[in-house]
Amino acid sequence: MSERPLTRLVLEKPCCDADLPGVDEGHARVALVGNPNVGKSTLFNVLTGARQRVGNWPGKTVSVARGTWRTPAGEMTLIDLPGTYSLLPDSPDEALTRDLLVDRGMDDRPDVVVLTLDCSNLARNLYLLAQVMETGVPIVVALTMVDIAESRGIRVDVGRFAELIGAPVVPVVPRQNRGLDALRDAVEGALAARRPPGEPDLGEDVEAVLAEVTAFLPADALLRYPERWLATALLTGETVPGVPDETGARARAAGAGLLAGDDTDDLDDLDDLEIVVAEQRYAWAHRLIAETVHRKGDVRATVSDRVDRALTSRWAGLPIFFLVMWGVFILTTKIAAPLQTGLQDLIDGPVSTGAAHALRGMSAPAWLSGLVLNGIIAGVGQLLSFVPLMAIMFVLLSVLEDSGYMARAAFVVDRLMRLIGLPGRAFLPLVVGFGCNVPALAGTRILSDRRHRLLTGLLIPFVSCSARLTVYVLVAGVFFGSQAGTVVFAMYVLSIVLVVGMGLLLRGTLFRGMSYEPLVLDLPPYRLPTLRVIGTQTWQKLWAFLRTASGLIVATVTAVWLLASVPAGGGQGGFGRTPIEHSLFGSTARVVAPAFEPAGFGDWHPSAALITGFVAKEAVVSTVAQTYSMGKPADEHRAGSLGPALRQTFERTSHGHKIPAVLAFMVFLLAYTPCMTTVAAQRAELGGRMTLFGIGMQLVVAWLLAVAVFQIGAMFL
Amino acid sequence: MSALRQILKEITTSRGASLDEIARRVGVSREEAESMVDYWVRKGRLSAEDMAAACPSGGCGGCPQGDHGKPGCGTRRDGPVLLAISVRRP
Repeated sequence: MSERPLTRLVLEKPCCDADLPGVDEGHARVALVGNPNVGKSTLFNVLTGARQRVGNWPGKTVSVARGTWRTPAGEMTLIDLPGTYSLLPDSPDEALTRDLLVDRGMDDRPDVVVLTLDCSNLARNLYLLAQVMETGVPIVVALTMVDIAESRGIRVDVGRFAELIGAPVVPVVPRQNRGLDALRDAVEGALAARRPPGEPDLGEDVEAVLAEVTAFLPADALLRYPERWLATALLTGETVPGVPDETGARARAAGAGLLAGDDTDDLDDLDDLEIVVAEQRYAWAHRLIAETVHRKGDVRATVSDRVDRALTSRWAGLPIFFLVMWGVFILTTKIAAPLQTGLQDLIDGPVSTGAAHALRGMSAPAWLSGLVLNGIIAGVGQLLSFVPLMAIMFVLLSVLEDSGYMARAAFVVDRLMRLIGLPGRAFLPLVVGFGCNVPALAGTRILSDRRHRLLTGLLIPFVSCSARLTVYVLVAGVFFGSQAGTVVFAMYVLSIVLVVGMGLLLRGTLFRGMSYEPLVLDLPPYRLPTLRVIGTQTWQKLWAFLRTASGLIVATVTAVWLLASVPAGGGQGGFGRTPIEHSLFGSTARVVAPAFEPAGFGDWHPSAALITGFVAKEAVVSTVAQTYSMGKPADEHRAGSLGPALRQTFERTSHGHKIPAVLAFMVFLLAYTPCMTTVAAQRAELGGRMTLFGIGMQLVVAWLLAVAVFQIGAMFL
Repeated sequence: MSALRQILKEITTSRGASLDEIARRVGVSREEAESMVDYWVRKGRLSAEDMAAACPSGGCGGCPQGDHGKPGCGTRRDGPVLLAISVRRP
């Protein structure tokens, strides 16, 4: 610890009584200053009650609340200034605090500043404290969030803190009216004393330069600006109105010696006196914390640290992540299975039967009965049966997110991507892609390098979005029974492997020599998930899925029904009476089907589903249901008939190797073009040529993988 | 080297680190490290964005999934936020 005093105490300086805009005449002016989100406005509301008004600050567009603080000794005007991190402003809001404390001049400053500091996160607030102390305005420190700090085992030695900064310090909990009388007494004391706080010690070298600069400050400037602030501002290169440029140049020349010497950091262009002063302010804050903040047995932090060490470990992090996700899929499929079956039975049974009766009662034409029963009810109904599954999955994912685990998972995945050479920040849009590829593509804009954007945009379609999940669950449920959860989980693992593999392939070929981009992640603290957040999140995601899916499915179902009702080449039956496999839709699917024979599913049913899947993956499930349903008369519905029909198809097309064939189908579905909206988003973000390349790449990769899965799988299964 | 410079150097040269790890290496608390990151962000040397920053800069209104300016993808903006800190070249 340095032997230099932490803070230099300052002798009393005269202050002023001039009017401040928006302040009642004769009232003392007390300004509330602090970082954003430190409880400043809560304190303001409690102190002023209803006696407040909000309006633009004169000459500014910034809204400021002003109110009357009534005390036994009289009334004060309290000004709630916008939250600020620094007196070197970065926004109009921050500029207002700077304007009031410095730029307006000594005569217009508030009489006292109540500097509101978050006691639970004190280190983050001390830079501003140092700067406000440099202005010399009398301050009272209000320590907020004391209760939170106490619950975290953080104790601040208030007496020592006050001693070291040369100003009163009062812990407050405004909502519980704790500490407000003490705050009032401290403010009244500060108003009476008009004593400036201490000056933070900026180290021997900087202090010596500041003393030198202070000696040649123009006398007229000192009437307007606080001495210490002016010396620091000129040393750090600020242009101060009313101060000759030569004085600034002289101050910087005086500080030139501070820049010499430190070549150890390899960071060129950091020879900046403002940085030198900032370093000293942080060093001062570090010493202040060391002397005043005590953490007594912070057990929770230790547990959290230990948990983090395991969850983000270089070796265990990824397996733990996969284990957690496997648990999610197992739980989802196990819990949802009976609900899904019940809902499907309800739709296939009473709903379909009731609708058939109603249509017959209305003497509806056959085409309308076909559209409603085989199209809308079969397609939309199939999708609706997935609602419990999606809801359970969204609840589990929300719990993981709200607890803070997903942030750790992203950290682990980021490390994996970095390991194989992908740009670090690219993981952000890729993670979003697990929900939906479209916003993920828009998210590539956060990457500054165009080649990074292109590469990430080409990889996003391989990220398995939630729409693909419905197909995995349908197919895995039919073919893998109790192992369905594991199979679905495997598809997500494969998705990650595909992203990594294709990333490596593209970086080694088309995207050679991309620049390295460092990235650090700030992991949020763990917290107990709340029902409100989980409920809101689940509903938001479920609603988004239903809203997108329902519109798409009704449109696709109608289009498929229409195409399936038109006989191909003017063939047999006429509109609505031709067998579906000989319709325009069935014939198109039959043309495509042979391409999938090497993959074991060369039948028009799966081909038809993959065609509509090109439009949207949500439509795959409805098309599967519709193509099998339309093969039967409108009123011959039988609950649970889809599974056997699917099994029969794959058994036939794979010549007895239905498991590898269905796996090949799922792999193709994962890897080929996600939907037309994604294509449109890719075109907007990557351009037409790259989008075409992407579609071609997806189709080739999907086909090759599907064929490989079937051909290799058929040797063993 | 000062802690402020060390933080910048560690972030600039890091390969997959968390801010907690970097704070430990530099010998400051996580809160101090966050404050120093704030400083470098204001100086334009680092950029810090949360996960929601993966959305278009125009917010949900600029996203094809957006529903009249509201999230159409279920993306959350509350809850624990993962902050990504990356280097900006001057």
